[in-house]
Amino acid sequence: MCQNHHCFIVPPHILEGLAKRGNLDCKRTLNDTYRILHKRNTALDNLLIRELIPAKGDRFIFDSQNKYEQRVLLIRKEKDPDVEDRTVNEAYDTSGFVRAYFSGIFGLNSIDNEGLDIICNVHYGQGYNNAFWDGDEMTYGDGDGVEFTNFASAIDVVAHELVHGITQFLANLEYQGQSGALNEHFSDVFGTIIKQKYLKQSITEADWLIGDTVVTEKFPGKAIRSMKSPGTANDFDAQPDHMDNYYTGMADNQGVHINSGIPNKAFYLSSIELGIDDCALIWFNTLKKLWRTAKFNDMMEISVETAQELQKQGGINPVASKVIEQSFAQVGLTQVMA
Amino acid sequence: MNYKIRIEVGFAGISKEYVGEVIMGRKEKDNLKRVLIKKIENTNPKLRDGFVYSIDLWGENFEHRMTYDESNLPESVRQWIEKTIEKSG
Ligand SMILES: [Zn+2]
Repeated sequence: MCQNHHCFIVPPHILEGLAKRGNLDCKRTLNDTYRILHKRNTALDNLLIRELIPAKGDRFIFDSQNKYEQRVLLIRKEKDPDVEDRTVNEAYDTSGFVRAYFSGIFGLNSIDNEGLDIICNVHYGQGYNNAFWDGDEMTYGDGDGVEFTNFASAIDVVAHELVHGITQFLANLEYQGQSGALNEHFSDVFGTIIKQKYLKQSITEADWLIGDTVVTEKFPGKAIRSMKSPGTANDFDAQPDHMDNYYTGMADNQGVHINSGIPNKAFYLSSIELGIDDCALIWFNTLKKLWRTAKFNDMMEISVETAQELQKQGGINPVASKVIEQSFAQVGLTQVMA
Repeated sequence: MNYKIRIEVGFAGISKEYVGEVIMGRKEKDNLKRVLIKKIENTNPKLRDGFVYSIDLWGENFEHRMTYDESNLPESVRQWIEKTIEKSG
């Protein structure tokens, strides 16, 4: 019905409507349209040139040498032996673990499924309390040593940032409001899954915390976020665990790191019932079907549909879709009957 | 010169705000003003978890507000922010 080349002349709001009704061609076109638009707008950006170079998903770890600059000094690349700098080795190992997880479980070829090189910058800035994805690469600060420490060494932080890249290429979720909170949600979901795999923990052994190893003893809390109990990880943690407490302010791009607590809690509840592997499969396949402006209700509907499809194929727990529906209902998200 | 510096978003999603008064020499003040009134040319919509830096400056016939992200924060403004925060203790 709707061929890709026809979709380009269809206005984005119509594409969004069709994507929502399950038209994957339109969803792909919609995401491509925005990507192409952005590329056009940044034609002078040398990042485009980088994209033309064929890549194999290799790791490149750069030392920012405490400058606020990226790609300052290449310290270790794919297949290189350990180096003296422990942070470089940890960034290399954790990035490799995340890459191997997505390749082994979902057959994903690096971040973009086309072998995009995995670029990590460590020792960014001076006492820099952050880690970020910039559209092409990851950057990690050392932390100020007072409240935060060594972001590049934390498996959940590295997975979280790398998954921002995966989300960019699979669903391109807009970074504001509910779509932004979903963007954060998927990063936390795979951050916590990969952390459990890395530490060889079962779901009952796991602490379901995000960023517990990047906070110091002086930090007023045990972690950055909690999937199990959103809003309890630290004194500043304002994450709700139910739609009744949905944040409606403008801060944090309309609460992308705040309202993500709601789907995070739904994921936790689903995982406790179904196990983390079934949930990983459902969530990854859901992400592939989402689109730029998807909201919480879209996510819920698509994840239930995805679970039903996977159930039919016999690959997951036969009650998965029901469990997911109930988990979302517990956080105040229920399906609107057509 | 009065200032309010707000650093928000980031991986942790924890906002920090610094408010106070800073004494600057004329040259330093002029240099800062010159940078602050420049139009921001490059914003990066693909940035995730990057800090957002909002700066309010007022007093002495000058009132200005500017917001930067991690990809377009001028080095001189970053240095000024770091210095001012350090001084504020
Ligand atoms: Zn994030």
